[in-house]
Amino acid sequence: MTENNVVAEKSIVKVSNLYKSFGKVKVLNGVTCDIKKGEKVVILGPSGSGKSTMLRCMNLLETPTYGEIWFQGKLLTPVDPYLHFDVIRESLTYKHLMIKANKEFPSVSPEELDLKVIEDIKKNDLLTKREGKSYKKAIKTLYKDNFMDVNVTRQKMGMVFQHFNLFNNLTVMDNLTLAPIKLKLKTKEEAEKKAIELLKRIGLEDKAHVYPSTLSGGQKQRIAIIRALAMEPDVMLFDEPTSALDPEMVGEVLELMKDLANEGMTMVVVTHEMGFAKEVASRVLFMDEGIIKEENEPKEFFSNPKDKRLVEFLSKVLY
Amino acid sequence: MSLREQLNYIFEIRGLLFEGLGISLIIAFVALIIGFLIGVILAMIKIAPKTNILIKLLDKFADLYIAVIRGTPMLVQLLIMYGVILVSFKSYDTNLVVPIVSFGINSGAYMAEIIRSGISSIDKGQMEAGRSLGLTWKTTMFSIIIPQAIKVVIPTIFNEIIILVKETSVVCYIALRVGGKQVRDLLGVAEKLGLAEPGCYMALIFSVAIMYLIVVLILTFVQKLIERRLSVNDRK
Repeated sequence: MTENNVVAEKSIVKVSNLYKSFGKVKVLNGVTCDIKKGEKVVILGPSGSGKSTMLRCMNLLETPTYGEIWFQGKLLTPVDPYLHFDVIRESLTYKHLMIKANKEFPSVSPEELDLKVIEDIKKNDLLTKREGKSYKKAIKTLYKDNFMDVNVTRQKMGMVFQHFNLFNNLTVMDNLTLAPIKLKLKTKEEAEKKAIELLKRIGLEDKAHVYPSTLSGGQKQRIAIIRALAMEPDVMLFDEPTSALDPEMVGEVLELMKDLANEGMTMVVVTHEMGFAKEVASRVLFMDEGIIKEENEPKEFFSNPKDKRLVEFLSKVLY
Repeated sequence: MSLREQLNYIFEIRGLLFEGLGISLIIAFVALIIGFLIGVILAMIKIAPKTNILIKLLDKFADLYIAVIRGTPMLVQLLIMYGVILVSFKSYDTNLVVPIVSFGINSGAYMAEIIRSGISSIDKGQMEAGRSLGLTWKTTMFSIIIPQAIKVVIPTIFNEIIILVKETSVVCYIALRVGGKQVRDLLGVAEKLGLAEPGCYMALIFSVAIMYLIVVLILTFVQKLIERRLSVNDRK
């Protein structure tokens, strides 16, 4: 076991039963995963497997069709009633079905009946079909008690994109200070001080007052990373951060990401860099056809893959 | 009439021509401001996330507006407005508002499409990056997207301004009054004088052409200045 398991088991991002379709195309088909504080989770998978979509659902750049996203114990998406057994148990439908089931199968234990009835309600979508006000009220209360505004959450969830997405109309300095200043998290002086500090860290302090169009891809991506860091996030999401880079620039970006990992930043990385996954990840997920097919610590993941599709995938990428 | 006599005649009545140009430019200028405001509002409606029923209704209205205005000739719109406004406001004494409003409404539809396409030409990643930092849609729109869209849109906006300035010449079809006194736009003045002095008709029309040309050249120059100003973040 790696040293990462020593870190507290506090959940940062929790994805429950996530479904996403674009029109008729089903991209995610029920993904569930829990990212704990200090973990470095690498998501691998063939293109079109839904890994980027899942990452983008985590900070709601894509709206999930179904399912829940939790951030530090707070709900970001509307309540999915079928994930909350207590909501189901409170419904009239459940009570009716339990009475009926009790009469029909008096010999079966109540626990088993409970599960059976819940399964039945879930399968036939009975809550939306039968329930009225009380069910809606239960969901509303649950949502209200746990809800967190997504704009506030995103401040604590840094995201790095494949195409950098630096603000083209602003200088590097303004790129780094815009959000902290606009969101009134820092004064202009504080934000600039922090920006200089971060720029020094990546050795680009001389670029503070140039526009992004004059930078190389590697420089852009490193600045995009520190732009997210300027918000002092609790978790960093990386969406194929090196895929749009020239090969010789990949190294500098990965180096910075490794630094971050060593400092204990919680990271979720969608990538095709197997070396990075092996070296840095505390857990590797393999996604295919919109579900997580396999999940393991890196050593076991690469040396002893179990899923058939994963074996095939690894044989192609690891030549 | 000899060329010299014609030139002398033009020189004599130059004051009337400049007066006419003044009327044309006033109509164009105020209409431009109205058109720009309408355009920005319609473009914002079209680009905003369709989250509630009100914005969806407004969006449908914007579609209808743009379809009707772009689908009918300017002159026809002007004549319709002439009837509608005069009848409903009984403003027979000062009716300069008729062409101003008509051209404003007309230009608004085109401006809306120009601004909308300018905004949607900006890479989606810019909005996503803003939102991923916790900025709201509005903040990202005004701090990031619109400043970039303005640069894209300047050439087409100036195209529309130039078309508008020249298009105002169709107001010579309607009778304009300011405080009960009849006024004419540039082409209207030339037409009127041409009737009285048929020998100078072509010279008058040429003068009108040259005056419009100079105005458009000035506008083009202004456009170049603005474009140069805005291109700092491309080079450096």
